[in-house]
This record gives sequence, structure tokens and C-alpha cells, in this order.
Amino acid sequence: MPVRSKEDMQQRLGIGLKNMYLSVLDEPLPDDMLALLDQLDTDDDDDVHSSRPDLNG
Amino acid sequence: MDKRQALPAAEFKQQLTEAIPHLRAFGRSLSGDRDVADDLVQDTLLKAWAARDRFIAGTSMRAWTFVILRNTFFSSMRRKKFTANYDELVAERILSAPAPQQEPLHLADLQRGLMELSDDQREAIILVGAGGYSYEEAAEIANCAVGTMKSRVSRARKALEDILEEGRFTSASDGHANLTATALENIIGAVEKIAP
Repeated sequence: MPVRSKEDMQQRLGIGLKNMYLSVLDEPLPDDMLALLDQLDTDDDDDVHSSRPDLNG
Repeated sequence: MDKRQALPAAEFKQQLTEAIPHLRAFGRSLSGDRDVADDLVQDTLLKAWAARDRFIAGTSMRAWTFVILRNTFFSSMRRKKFTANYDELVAERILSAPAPQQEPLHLADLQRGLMELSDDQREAIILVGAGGYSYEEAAEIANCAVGTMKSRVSRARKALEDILEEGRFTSASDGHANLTATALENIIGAVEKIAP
């Protein structure tokens, strides 16, 4: 295994983390997520709004 | 006097939709699993919509929904609904290297390395190192002091560098294809220690 400098590793890690994150941004949204978005408006008067969940999880 | 204003529903939905790719990226990095992340995002969308009159117009929708997602994830982790894992699908990708002479950093190894970190450290390095949040913004999302966030990022970065440099993976991120030879050897060694 080649010896790498600390700076090299830090640079690769920084770029790797950013690329990992950015690669997901480019993906199309799944169909079921799009369907959920469409449902949000129609569920306005239903139980989704009335049973407000706790933002703390 | 309280001057907070809620967004109109249509505008809220628009901003929520724009936050989704970031929620997926955050969720996947946090959980290490594509399906778990998408379940988390769906839970987050429902909770955000239900609580939309608590969102303050002019503030960051992305940060607000990140708080919901991370609280959902950690709360569910405690209840074992979601488990942090490692995604075989993303393991096939290879991240680009900063310069031709450098070896590419495999996303598989990076994701596995992240799963070796504590939850707090993993969240910190994802928010600051991957998501590009400032320490102040990340601290607000994680509900901790700025100094604590800086410390978590620093320790996470050091631990991750060591793990990736040495291929020092453990059972915390165990069990999937495309392992590097070093990682595989370490796993075999760990198994032999448990069952010689």
C-alpha cells in the first residue's frame, strides 16, 4: 500500500464526503415519494394534520 | 409581540419539495442505507407537513426538516425501527479522486467508515464535511453547543482518516460485498477472535 501524507488523506476524505452527498442530490425522486407529495394537499383535512406528530421524533 | 409568520401551504410545499434531495442525502449518510433513508424522508415529510404552521417564514426549510429527520432517526434507533447499516447498492460506486496520482476513495469504504463512528460524530461530519453547513448551523440542527460540534467534527475526521487509512472496520459496518482486502482481513481476524 502506498504511503500517503496526512494532507493527502484529509483532501481525499473531504472530497469523498462531498461527493457522497452530492451524488444523492442528482438522483430522481422515487415514485412513492412523489405520490406522497401529491397526497399532502388532499390530506389537509384528514388525520395527517389533526394528529400532529411530535417534532422530536 | 410575536411577528412569526407561517408560509402559505403552496409555498411551504414548494420549499419542502426542494429540500427533499438534501434530506435523502443526509438520511442516507446517517443511516447507511438507501431504503431506510427514503423511509426516514417520508416520515419527515409527513411530520413537517403536519407541523407546517410552526415553520417560520424566512428561516431555512432545509435546516428545519433536517432537525425532524435526525430526531426521527435517533428516536427510531432507540426503538429499533431503523438500524444504521451499510448499503450494498452504493458500494459499487467509486468517488472521483482529487488528482490523477491519487487513488480514488471508494464510497463503499467511506460509508462503512462512517458507520464505525458514534452517532454524534457521524452526524457532525456529515453536516459539516458533506453537507457544507457551518459549525453554527450544524450545532443548531444537532441541538448542541458550537464548541461541541467543532469537537465532534474534529474527532470524527481523525477517526475516519485512521479507519480509512488502516482499513480498520469492525462488525459495526459488517457484512457486505466489495470490501477492500484490508477490511476483509480485519473482519476475518475479528471473527477468529470471537470463534477461534
